[in-house]
Amino acid sequence: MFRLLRLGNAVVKVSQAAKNAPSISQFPSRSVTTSCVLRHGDYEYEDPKSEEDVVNITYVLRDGTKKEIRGKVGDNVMYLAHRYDIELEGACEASLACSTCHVYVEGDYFNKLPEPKEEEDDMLDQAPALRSNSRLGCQIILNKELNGITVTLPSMTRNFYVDGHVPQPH
Amino acid sequence: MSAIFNFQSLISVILLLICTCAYIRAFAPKVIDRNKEGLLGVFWKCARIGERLSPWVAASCFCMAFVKGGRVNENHYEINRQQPAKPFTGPNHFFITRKTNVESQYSDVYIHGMGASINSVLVFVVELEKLFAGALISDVQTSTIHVTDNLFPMSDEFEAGDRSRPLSAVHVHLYRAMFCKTVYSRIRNLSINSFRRFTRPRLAIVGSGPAGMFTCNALLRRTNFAVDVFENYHVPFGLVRYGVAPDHQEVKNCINLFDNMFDSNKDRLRLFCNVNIGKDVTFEELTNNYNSVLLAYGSYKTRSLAIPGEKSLNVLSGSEFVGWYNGVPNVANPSLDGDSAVIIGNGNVALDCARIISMGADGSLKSSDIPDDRLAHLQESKIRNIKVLGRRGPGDVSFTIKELREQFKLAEWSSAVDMSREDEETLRSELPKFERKKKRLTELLLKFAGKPNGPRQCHFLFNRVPQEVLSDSCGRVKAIKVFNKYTNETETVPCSLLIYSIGYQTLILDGVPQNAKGMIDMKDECRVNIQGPTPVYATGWCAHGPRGVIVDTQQQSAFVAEQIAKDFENFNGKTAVGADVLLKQRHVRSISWDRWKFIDNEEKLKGQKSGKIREKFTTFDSFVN
Repeated sequence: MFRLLRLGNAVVKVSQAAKNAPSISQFPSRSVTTSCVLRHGDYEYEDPKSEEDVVNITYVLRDGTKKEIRGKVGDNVMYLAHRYDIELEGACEASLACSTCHVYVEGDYFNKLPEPKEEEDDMLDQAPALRSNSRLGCQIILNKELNGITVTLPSMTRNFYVDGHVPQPH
Repeated sequence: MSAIFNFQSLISVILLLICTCAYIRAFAPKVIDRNKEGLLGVFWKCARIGERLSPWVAASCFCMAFVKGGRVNENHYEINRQQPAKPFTGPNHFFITRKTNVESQYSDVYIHGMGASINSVLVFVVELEKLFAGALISDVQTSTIHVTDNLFPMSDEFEAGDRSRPLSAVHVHLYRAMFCKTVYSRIRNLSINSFRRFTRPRLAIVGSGPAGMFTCNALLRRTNFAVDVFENYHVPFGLVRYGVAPDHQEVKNCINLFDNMFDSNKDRLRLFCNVNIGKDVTFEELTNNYNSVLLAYGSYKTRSLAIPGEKSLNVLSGSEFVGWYNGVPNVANPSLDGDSAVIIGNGNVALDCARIISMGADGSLKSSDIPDDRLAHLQESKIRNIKVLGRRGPGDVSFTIKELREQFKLAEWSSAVDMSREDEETLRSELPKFERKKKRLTELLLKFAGKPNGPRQCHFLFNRVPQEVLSDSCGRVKAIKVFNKYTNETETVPCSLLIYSIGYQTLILDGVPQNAKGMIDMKDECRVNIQGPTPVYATGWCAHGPRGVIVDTQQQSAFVAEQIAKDFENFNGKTAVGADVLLKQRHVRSISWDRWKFIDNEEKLKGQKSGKIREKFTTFDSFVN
């Protein structure tokens, strides 16, 4: 703390000197903190208000570990994952323009989800490692019926050569 | 005590004594009264003088303030100013005088100055802080230094001697912000891990497109790397800015992710736009100045048609056209005053070009980020007839379904797919065997098989191999001769604009190994086959060709980041210096992240005024400093 205070003093001293010096046009902003920009997905950062609201969800990560999370009714599966630091990308921010939030929905829960829109299906076509139970995470909104749902993140693909070419190791 | 041996000082002491005594008596009369004897009696006398003769005492004090007490009249001496003994020593201590020429190469520096140079020291420190933008912390201390001047009398009436003067001095300790953090964390948890921050690897990323940025993001999330990103254009984000179609703004949302990444990693992530690797800094210099290099510069050399007449006027590559409507600087307007356009290629670039030409005239792109002048040019387009030619059959297209659907959905345009009856039947019979992606795409193609009708038409033709570009007397394209593989005949398709988008070639930086196919020579999925102590990685289109959409790039990036993190898990070398010093030495006018955010803001503001998302600048001369 003492050190911080002293540094603070130094800032004041230097900035006063800078005021007198004509060659300094602007003093550099040294410790600018930027607060989090308000964006989509803020709702997911709220905790469930009552026990009735809770929807339990399990994420199976790319390395196979399971992460159980207490979500709530109305949560978007992609933004909920962001809240809990699960590496599920959301490049287009749930606007159905990419498939980076691709997940597999396990078991019977897949059928409990509403039918995907045409746009979602079009995007899923591009998703690597597509399966019959694939959905976009950003299009799954939790409700009471989905309590206990498990979504699996696809394991990382190694084959980036769309034509199937694999470079020979040297 | 020495002061009272000097007459002027003695007078000062007596006056001060008188004042002090009078002051004390006013507060506590019992301490000093007329009954006291000895020293206290003297004090009483002084107090009385102070009380009775106060105007005189005051006047005397005032006079003494102006009489140079103990000072030497400089006109009487030749003065030799001695340097004071240095209070601190060490190779990284600098003593700045008015004559000092400052050059330094230390990471932890002390700067001292006194008297009239204090101001210069502080100005110098502030300039340094500005230069290092938060990477330097200054600790300013002050003290008094006594300096001695030797006095040599200029006439016999004065004696030689010395004089001592007190001078204010300032001592600035400048050190890296990172160093400070390391000390903190080491004190907090004396673990070996926290020490590793001190020796974080420094990575250079060539290219700020999606491949580079997604990898950067995944890497920063996993490791303690410091990263410098180099971009050839004046502005970052590569194809996200200059490739994604203006009616697909939501695809550009990933920029928010990159914004967030830069904002929250200010201490270890830097951007250098307007830096050409190969020209401003060579690839070899990058490998020398970084612990690792990641190539993510895409593949922006278009494959040429390689047929006679390809140099005719108004023949351009798909990427040129895409660059044009996306606001790439220094791209000439194509002529859109003719009736028909031919687009060669069956990929998404071809679809983007067709769609933008189709949408341009009806004003639905008004609020997008197409630069105003180019939008105006697009709106004046007279093109009513677009033909998209494929060299292979309808089963070989590499469109994505979203883009194709959008073309078919365009109002005022009639779009249809021309395919032979045999093709149609084969596709229909094979349909159940196709995997989902191809199946859905083929279904869509089959649904729109037929001939377009109406005033505005877009027609997809297959099995047409371009043979020759025909031009008019002015050298401008008037038609293209194609070989029809269905009929085995040569057809002439008239067109006033010819766009070809038949793939890209990878540009290989000098010093990067190349394989027989003209691609970067790779050891495995992400490691470049290169000798030397600095590992080089490649990701995105420059590594494996221009294939795949943003999700493929993102997936690969996560994989590559994981591999890099794994390779550097036990890194215990020194943090490399980086190339910023080189850039400065060469006066490269690079654009930093903060500068880009300024440009970004200006673009958005300018766009807002005319109801657009942003107004992209096409010159940046006023922004490079």
